[in-house]
Amino acid sequence: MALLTDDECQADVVVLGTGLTESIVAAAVARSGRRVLHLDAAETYGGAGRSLPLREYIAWAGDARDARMPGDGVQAGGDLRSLPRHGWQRLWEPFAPRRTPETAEMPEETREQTEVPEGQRAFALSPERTECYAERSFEWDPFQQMNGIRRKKNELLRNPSAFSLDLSPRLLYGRSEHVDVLIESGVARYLEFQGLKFTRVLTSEGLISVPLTKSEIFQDAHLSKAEKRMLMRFITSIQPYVSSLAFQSAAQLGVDQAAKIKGPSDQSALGMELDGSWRAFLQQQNLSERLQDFITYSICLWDWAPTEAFPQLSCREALERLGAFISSLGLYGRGTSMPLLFPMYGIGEVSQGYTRLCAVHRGVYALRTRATHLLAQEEEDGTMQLSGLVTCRGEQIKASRLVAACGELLQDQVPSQSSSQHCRRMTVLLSSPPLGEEGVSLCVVPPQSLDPPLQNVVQVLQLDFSSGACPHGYFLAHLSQASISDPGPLPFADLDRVLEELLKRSPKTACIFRCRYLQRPRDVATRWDVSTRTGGFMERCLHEERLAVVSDPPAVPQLLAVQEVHDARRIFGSFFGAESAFLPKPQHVAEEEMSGSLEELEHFNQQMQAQEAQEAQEPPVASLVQEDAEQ
Amino acid sequence: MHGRVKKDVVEPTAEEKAKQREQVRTARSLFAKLLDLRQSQTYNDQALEMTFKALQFHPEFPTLWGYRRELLTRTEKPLEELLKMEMKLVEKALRRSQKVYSIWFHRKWAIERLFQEVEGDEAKAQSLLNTELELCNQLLEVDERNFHCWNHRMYVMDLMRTKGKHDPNQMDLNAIDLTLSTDLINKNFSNYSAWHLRTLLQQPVAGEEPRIKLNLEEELEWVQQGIYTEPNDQSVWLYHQWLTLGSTSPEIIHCAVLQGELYMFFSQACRLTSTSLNGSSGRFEAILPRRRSTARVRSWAVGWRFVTDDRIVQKTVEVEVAVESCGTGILKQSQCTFKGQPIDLDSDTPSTATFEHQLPLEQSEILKAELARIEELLEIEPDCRWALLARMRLQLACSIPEETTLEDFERMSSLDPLRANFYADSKANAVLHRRSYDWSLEGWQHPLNLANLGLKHLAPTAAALIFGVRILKLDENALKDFGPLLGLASLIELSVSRNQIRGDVAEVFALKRLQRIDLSWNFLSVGIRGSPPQTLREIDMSGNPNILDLADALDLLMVDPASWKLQVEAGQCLACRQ
Amino acid sequence: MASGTPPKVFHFKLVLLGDASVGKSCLVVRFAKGEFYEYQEPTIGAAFMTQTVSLSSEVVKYEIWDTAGQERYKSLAPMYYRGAAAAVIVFDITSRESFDAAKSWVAELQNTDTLIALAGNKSDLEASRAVEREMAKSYADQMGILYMETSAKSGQNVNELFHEIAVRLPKQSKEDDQSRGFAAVASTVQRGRAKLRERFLPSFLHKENFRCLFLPWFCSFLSRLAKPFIQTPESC
Repeated sequence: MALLTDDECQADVVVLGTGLTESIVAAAVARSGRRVLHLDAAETYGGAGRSLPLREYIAWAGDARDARMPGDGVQAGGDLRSLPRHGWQRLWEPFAPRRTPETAEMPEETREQTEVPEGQRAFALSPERTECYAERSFEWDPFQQMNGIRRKKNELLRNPSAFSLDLSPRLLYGRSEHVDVLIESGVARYLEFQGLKFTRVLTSEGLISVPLTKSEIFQDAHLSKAEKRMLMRFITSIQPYVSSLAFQSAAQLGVDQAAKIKGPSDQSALGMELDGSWRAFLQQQNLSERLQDFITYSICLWDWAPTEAFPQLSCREALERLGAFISSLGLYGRGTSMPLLFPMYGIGEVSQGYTRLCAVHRGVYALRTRATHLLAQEEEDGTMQLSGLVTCRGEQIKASRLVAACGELLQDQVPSQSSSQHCRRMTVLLSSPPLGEEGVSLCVVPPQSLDPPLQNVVQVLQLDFSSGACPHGYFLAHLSQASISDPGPLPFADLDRVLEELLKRSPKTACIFRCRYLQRPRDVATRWDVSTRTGGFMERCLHEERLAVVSDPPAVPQLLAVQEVHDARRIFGSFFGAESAFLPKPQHVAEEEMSGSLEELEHFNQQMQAQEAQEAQEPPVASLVQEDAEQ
Repeated sequence: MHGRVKKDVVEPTAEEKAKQREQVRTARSLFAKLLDLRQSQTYNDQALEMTFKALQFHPEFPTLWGYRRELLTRTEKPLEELLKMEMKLVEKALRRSQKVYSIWFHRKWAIERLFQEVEGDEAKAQSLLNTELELCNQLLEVDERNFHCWNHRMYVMDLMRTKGKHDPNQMDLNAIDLTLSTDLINKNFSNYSAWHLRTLLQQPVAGEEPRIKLNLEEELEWVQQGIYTEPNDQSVWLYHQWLTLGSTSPEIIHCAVLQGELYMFFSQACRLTSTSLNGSSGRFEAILPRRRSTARVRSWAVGWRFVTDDRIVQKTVEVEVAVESCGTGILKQSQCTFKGQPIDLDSDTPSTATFEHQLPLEQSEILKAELARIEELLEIEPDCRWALLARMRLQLACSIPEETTLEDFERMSSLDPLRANFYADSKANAVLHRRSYDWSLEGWQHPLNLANLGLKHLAPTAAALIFGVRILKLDENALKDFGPLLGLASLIELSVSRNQIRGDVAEVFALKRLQRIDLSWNFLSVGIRGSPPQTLREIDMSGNPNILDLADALDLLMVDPASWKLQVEAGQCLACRQ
Repeated sequence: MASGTPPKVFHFKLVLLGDASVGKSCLVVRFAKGEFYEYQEPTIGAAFMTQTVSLSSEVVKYEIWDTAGQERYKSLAPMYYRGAAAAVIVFDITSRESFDAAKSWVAELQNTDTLIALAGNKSDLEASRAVEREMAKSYADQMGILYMETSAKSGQNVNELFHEIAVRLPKQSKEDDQSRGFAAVASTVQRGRAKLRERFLPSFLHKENFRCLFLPWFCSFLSRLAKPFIQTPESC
């Protein structure tokens, strides 16, 4: 039943899971000339950060074990069964899942006692699969307001790949470590991005756009004159900080050099206590309550209200976020474009980009492949050394190093625990843009904007077809709220209120579907029981840096991808030393950069010459000099 | 584009430099040839062709443009076609370098000629102007602060207003201007030209209504948004100043009669084109401005002497003066009318009329509201010198402040030491204003003491206000010339010792009523033959390094030394009539 | 530069789909380099190949993406064919199975704006044909797609295939080209869409600034600058 060839079973590094971090590591390892075998138990790329077409999304959302099923809601599983017969199964055969990843039957489940070569031992992994998303529910027409919902549903299901729905939607800062790596590695070449069009704050006065440039502040109609002054002064006083070296593009410095630069150290000019409270600092700057909210939530994109129970924003972190934001302003697009980029078709596309880079460098890919056992070689001194793994098809993979997503290395009988921070998410499909205007855009709702106040700030990411996430004429809104306490009986109450508030503004907007779930990243520290043989072995591998475990996508920050490249770099460094080059610029990228700009030049020159030819009468400028030289 | 140095974007390699040198060599030989041709006054089609090529290659060459103009004026080919080519050539050059005077000048020249060529064909003229405006808009898109382009645009718009026979319903030029100004200000309000365009639109010209009437309060509110956004940007403050204080059409600020002479003072320098005096049937002759011959000289004051009827005082005079003031580069005609009774300086009644006539109630309300707003800003930004300056200006316009309330000037010069002299000067003028005011309350006969104020010059308006003064002390200032002092015909005693006045002693004899004058410790000299007033009793010329021999000096000044007592001991140089 | 208007250049992303070992890479190599190797090693590190097709009034520049072997275990990332202007779906005329796979690829791409071409490869192995030409042809006609039988080995129909695609591709201006796949879109929505490499264009290459430069001189300078840069040995 083995698929992989013997040659492919010999790898330097095996990567389990195709989440973003794992994919970056895989690409970096392959790029450094080592053999990579990249496996994922699921049938799609992206792991917990995947982006799904509509059918897979519905299947996923309806599959939740403890899904709350409102009586009026339509259960997703039922929908799948009611599909037209000639439907999607045949159509999607080569690449689409027959079942959702969780219920997919693993071909030929291996036994506890797998046959192992002499001198090796096998440590069994749990066949159970869990996810970091809980309490999923999916409903068509949740507000019972649509007449032709059945027709609409069929229409949407007819072209399900027009959707690319993120489970954990992420944005990138235009100038960030991640974007630098994307550019340097050449992965950016495979991808397209949609710049954030605007950010808004929902206040009691309505949707307000936060002015960021001098021109916007000047024209703003909501701020008072004193507020304008305070905001301008704040932005200019913060400027020397953000223009420091740490925010220079790695494209100029080189990724490795840029990674060594620590955050700026000179904040003396601002007279702030770096570990002090950001709120207090803003107050000290005489900024109005409203501006404090604007800066904290809409520019720093901070996830927590200033409540005792929640983490507090320190000046240090706030400055980092502010710096990331301001230094990314206006980089892409024209004029004062927003600093955040949305990867077209979702964040899952980015991990696929890295897998392509890995594949281009001889990485071998097999989805629907799970590890059942870890293999260990007994060394002369009696210690066990990681030597490979066994797949669900019984293939024995030889590899001395292993990278695995948190959910891929579970031990039987050890329940995985979630960290206390979680994120409540709601994704809705609407018939008109909830933020008033089309385009990829963001809205934050500070707690005090609604009465009674929200438990915590809510972020709303609006997507439309320009982001590749949904078909033309539809709008997606990802609402999310970070939380730390027990979800309670109504975890999505705040999100529902915000949605209601937004929909109030355009009464004709229909809500076509709503999907709600909790994102609860698992606690990496408690993934296995170290008192057992298997647990102890894995702990040792981890300690000896032969094994690296990648955590689930974080619940907080809710909408930013900030940690992945950092984690991947750390894992790569722990395996091969910090001095080995991490995703250096490939030759074809260097060539393209040159030829790209040359092409641009050529194109422009042609245009100019065409223009000249039209105006004809005179010979082109260049001939002038030669002509004269001949005389 | 601002703050960017014009230079090569990339440092060329050695190989590149060699190639550049090669290009330069060939280009240079071509240029040399052309210059030779010009020297030999060769005007033919071949030269026209060659300059065309050469200027395409290197448009920043004023001489070649000049040569081309000469060629074009001498060619026998049909000019219209040639000029159209010319426009294309210039446009191409402009797209390469937008800040070269010679190119812009050539364009203006070409348009003027082309306009003459298409004279009579309105459609052609209109399309010509439209293309021109479009080009300006495109270039402003690239650099919204390019003043060359702004000037050119203004020229084109003026042509459109005067020469273009456009359908006013179709194209409202004023609306076009206003939209452009608003758009560019919204894009980046640090744009002097865009604000300036706004002021021009609202400025009444030659007695006509302003081109566009904007709501003053809305404009003030708008400019305040800019002020609060960036209070250290001069451009917004300039517009604010114009809105609050900037009435720039000339006014008559003072009119007085002194011993049968009528004097009138303007709020700004004007070129007089015609004057007419109603209400007096008598004969009169002009005494100011003195130098009639130089018609282009601008003057702050005008004066007449009545030859036959010196009881003018009894009557209400009606004076109408046509003046020219310089606004947009094209001279604007204006009428200044004064109706009423001139102040009679021969009587002893004190009068403060000249000091208080300026502010209508409505305007003073506005100024007070603006003052309050600026106070608010200063609470947030106590160190904003533009706000301090604006506050001071508004305060000065509203009232005449006590000398002790002027310490803001010191604050400004410590915040902005580069312009310390400007602030000191402004302060000196403010003090001068206050002292003049106090003096005017006391009566004309009292001496006015303006000594030791650090005055570098005397503003003509300030001089106008103290017209009528008999005894004036200006010692220990830093005056560089007599300037408007010479218009103070009422002076009997003048003391300007320890200033830095350069020039000729004889200049001061323009003051026909002078009895006593102290010119000591200046840098005056004696050279021009003067005609000292008969009334002159005492003249002190001590300490002027150029005046060594008092007797010689008096001789040159047409003063008969015999009737004068000379004091020349111990460095003194004083003459008194015996 | 030749006299007259220079031909317009269009850039298109082209992908190859189909089962493993139907000869996708061989087709690309034959087209791009005119070479054929019986045992085509996957090219390591190369993400694209480019080749140009000249039509009468325009030039089509293909950016041909290789699957990089990801299709082997049915693990091709959807990103690979996302937004492709054209897809060549390849099957092996000696393998019925590969034809079935090709059909499912056709179905997958049918609702998108991607131009589909079906290529029956290995036409030199006529003796062991398993898929009848007529059957494939009628299937293609039914689906409204282009069909050609090719041989990467002999080179038969390879250039013709790519030429035919070039002819059929809708030629839009560069801006419109960006919005491919979203034909109905208003241009404002697309404005923010960015390829990250744009950042590499130095600021002086932006059009406004660019006019100030002496173009031909600058072109030659850049090409010279480029050479040593490209020749730098890569530590792969």
